[in-house]
Amino acid sequence: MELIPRATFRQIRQERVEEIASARKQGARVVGYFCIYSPVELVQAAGAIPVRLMRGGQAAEEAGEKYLRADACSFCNSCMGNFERDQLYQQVDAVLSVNTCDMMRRLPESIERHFGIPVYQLYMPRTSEPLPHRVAEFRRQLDGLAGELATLTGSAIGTERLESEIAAFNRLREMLRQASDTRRMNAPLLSGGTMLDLATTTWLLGPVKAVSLIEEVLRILAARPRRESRRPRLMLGGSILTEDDRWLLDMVEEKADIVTDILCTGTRWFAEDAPSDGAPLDRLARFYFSRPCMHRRPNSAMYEYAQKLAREFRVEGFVYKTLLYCDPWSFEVRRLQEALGLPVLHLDTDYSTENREQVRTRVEAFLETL
Amino acid sequence: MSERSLTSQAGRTSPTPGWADPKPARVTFDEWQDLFERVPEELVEEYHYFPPNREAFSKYLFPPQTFAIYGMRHLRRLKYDNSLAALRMWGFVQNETERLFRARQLGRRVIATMGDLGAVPVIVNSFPDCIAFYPDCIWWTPFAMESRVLFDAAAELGIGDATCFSRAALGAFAKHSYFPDPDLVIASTGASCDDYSGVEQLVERFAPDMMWVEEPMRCDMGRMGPMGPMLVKEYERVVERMEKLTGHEITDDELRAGVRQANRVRKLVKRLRELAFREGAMASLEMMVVEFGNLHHYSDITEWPHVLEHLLATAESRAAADTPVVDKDALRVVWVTPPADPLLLTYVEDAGARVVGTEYVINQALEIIDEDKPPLEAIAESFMAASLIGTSKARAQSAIDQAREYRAEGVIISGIFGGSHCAMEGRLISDYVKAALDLPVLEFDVTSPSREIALQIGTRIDAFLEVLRSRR
Amino acid sequence: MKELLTPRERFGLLVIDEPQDRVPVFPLVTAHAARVARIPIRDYYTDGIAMARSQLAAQEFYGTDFISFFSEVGLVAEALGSRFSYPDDDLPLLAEPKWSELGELDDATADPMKDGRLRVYLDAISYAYEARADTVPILAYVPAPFTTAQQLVDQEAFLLGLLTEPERIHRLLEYATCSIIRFCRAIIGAGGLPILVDPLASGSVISAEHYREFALPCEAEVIRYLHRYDLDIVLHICGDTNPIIHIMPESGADLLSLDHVGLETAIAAAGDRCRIIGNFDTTAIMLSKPQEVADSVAAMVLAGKPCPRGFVAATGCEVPVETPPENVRAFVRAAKEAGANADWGARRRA
Repeated sequence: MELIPRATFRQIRQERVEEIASARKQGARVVGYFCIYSPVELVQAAGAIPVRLMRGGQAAEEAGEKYLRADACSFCNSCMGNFERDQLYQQVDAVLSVNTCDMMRRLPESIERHFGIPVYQLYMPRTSEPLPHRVAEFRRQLDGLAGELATLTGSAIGTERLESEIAAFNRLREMLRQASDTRRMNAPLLSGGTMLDLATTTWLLGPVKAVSLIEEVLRILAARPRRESRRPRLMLGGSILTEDDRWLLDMVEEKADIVTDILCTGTRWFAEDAPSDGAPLDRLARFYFSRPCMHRRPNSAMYEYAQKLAREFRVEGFVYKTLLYCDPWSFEVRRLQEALGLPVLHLDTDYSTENREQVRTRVEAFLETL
Repeated sequence: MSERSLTSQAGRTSPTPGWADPKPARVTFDEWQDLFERVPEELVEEYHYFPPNREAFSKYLFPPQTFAIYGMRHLRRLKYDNSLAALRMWGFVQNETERLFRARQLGRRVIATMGDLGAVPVIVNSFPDCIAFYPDCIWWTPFAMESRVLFDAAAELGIGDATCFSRAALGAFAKHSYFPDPDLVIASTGASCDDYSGVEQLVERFAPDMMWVEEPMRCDMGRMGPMGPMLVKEYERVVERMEKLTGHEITDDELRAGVRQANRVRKLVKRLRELAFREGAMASLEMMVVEFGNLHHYSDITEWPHVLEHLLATAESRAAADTPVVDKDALRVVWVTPPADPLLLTYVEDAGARVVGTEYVINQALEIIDEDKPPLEAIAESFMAASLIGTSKARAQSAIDQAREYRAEGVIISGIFGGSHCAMEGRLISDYVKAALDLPVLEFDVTSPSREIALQIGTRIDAFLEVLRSRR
Repeated sequence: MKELLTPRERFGLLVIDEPQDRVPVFPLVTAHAARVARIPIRDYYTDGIAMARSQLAAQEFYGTDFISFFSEVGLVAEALGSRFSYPDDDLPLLAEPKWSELGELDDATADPMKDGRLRVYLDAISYAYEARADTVPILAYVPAPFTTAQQLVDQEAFLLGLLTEPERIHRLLEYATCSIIRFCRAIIGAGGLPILVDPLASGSVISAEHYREFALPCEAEVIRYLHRYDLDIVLHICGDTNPIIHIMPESGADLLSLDHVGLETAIAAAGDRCRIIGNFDTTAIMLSKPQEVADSVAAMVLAGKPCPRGFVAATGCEVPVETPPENVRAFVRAAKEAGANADWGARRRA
């Protein structure tokens, strides 16, 4: 039986969206962001509400294709579509975008042009070696962003508030790690699907409310009897998985356990805390610069991360889900397979629902080989 | 292609003795063979790459037939400028693979500069006996050969079909037979395209010595401030790395000479563009080759300017005599994003149009580098004008400006299905152009290498040109 | 197993003096290709498309590094007026040379599009070029002037003339050269790389002195013409080339295709100037058992590999039409194995 029903998470999120809408009516400002390179601490310290824009879905993708082309990745297309049709996206007063991949780098121009939403674009160096001038450049941009956010909300970012938000988000990350780490056991009780929902829901709630939700989940977990049966232990990776992709996790977890992942909407979101030494903006610059992602060059840190998790979580197979036309992730399939030495199921799809039975066949065939 | 006996041609007074260009025209492959048969032996012996080298193997004045025999099948379908200068250019450009291997045999260092949009070669070429080459331009090879060989090699390493043709470069690295294994790979990445950044990442396994260079974004959207200082630091790293490789401590004067050398090429090309776009003195196919030479000078910064001077002299004389190589009254179009398939340019010109402006994502390399500033700062500043690192709006503006300048009647945007930036900006550029100029825009994706262009694209080009004609 | 390089890429490295992943492999499969394609030999040399398809099939079947078009050395002579008979399932035979004795010449030049079977070759080249030139070099044998001349004039009269009427011989050679160059030009236009074949200039037929005086200058003239196009030219002389191997490079040829000469001798005499192609015994390839072929080929490749300018594992002359296919396969397999440069990629990266 499911630990926490999907519907519950959905309901919590919906309530939070309504709460955000009403806060906005009271004058709050909402900043939408796309990825884990976005310094949410800064947004929150400015008094704005950070919301991660991570919804997908076929309808949104199709709606987005009138702005971009069909060979733009599904996530970018669905972002455009969701600005047109999704209640959460429609709360967004400004977008904070970091140039991760090329498509995400270019997405803000379309958002600004078609929806008139101001975009703050942060430039994160794509090169991953933390050379002082690169980190300094990112730090300089955080300064600029702080100014922009202050203008948006009308309240300057104080050091004390920023320190407090850094601590709060670190606490959120720590709690999510605790939850995720329960999957180290042989027959984990927390499914990958629930973990995805938990992460997306808690980040939407914000750190304070989120912590109590996670504590509740941990309590439920502790009370559950251990599972006897042991199933294949899988790692999940690839392009961004959105709230709407839980179907895939559920499908996989009919016969296996997703015990860890290298997703930006999964463990990479909370794998480490922002450091505690130095001035707050310096720390944030160092912290975000050092987050691994496949698009960084070289992307060896991403490989090390994947290898570490595979080892620590005793992974037996790797489900690698890429979005069509997502170069940074899809180019790496062969190499990852070599580096991990694991059986890999590579699924390269868009958000259309028509191919789900095909996916099911491939998933089942893959699981049989394990 | 191997060595021959060498006949020295000292004391020559005319640059092309025994030869007078025929009336300017675009000619077929077969017609070029007839013309080549009439080229005097002395001229075949005259031109050598890597001057003042005159090794027997370094001649390059050979016709398209030579390269077709060595597998460049597409050359049989193209149309060429019938001037000696153009023949020389084609021979020089097609000879690049051999030239790079010979460079290594001659003891030079061969440095692959990838994804840098023309900036890093300026630095590399400032070092003695170092050759910067550009694997990026291998993207034309599958089209020139009408072959999937390099794409298949890339696919085996993980890059499938739904992406940019630049993946051919990965295949070429894997094959070790399109250029010598570089002494150093300088891979630039950042606010450029994903496809090529991904190629660079996978190339790493073939490059024991590789350095990554950040190429930042230009803040066209107005909130980010300048990133030039960071780029200067990156170029300082390139200098340091090159110094370590060569054991040569470079001087400011040498870097300045490198900038002047690059500028010499850029100035020649600037004038050639003017003559081509305004006077029809060069055709679009040759001009695309010329423009891309600004990135890397076809791996020979010493000889390429001579080739360009020859072309320029030809174009100037055509302009002076009002004998264009393409009909000046042909339909005028601006071309956005270079077509990987050069046959498209031949097709469009055959169909009665001519190219009067280009936004080939290399416009930064067309700009003159400021020679009064410290060299690295000046190179960084010139790089920051790059088309690929800014907004689509800026790219569109470049096309719009040229369309206005040369009274274009339409704009063609050729893209690549699955190319990361094409997917995001094709429609935006089209929208901006239409909004600014009220010009018809044709947008299509270049299809895979083939003997002929896809029927559907041909039909769309025909229909588009018909529309332009009807608007006259 | 799929190889990293295509034959085209491998050949490209050879001719710019770069090491290859393995030695190129080139059993001279010519009319034997008709057997692979299961068509009558007469069809092979009278129908360009059939010739091309046979060669394409043979190249694919055996996995060789070249496609090479050839039927017999009378090709240009026929186009100039010598008469050949076409047996149903055998190669053309010289029925009557254009002239029975050395005498006055006419002013004819063979037209590649009209005369004899030259067009057959051009059709074959064009077809194969379109089909496979991106991955495999397309070669076309062109009989050299000296050999052609012996198909234009009664051979006995010609050989006697070398001693008694050298001026007439020279004029005849010029006459042949003119048509040969014209044919070469057409081959180039069609996408083929001409190979000059001069078997009747071998030491089995003439002395080294006569080779130097008569054959070599004409070979050199044709090669000079081809070098204007920067093409890498193979000069193939089968038979005994011991007496002339040291002077063959003076033709300007970039690659020498050899038959009865020791590889060590050939390499010592010409290996610093030319790549050596050779030289497996064609009787042995037809009559030996596959394993015997393989063993001998391996030994040959080991002897040829040290050639400073490069080596191509080939037969000394055409693979006989009736050679068992398994022997050709054994040749190719053994040559690839013995010719492999195991450290190729790694060494080049070092």
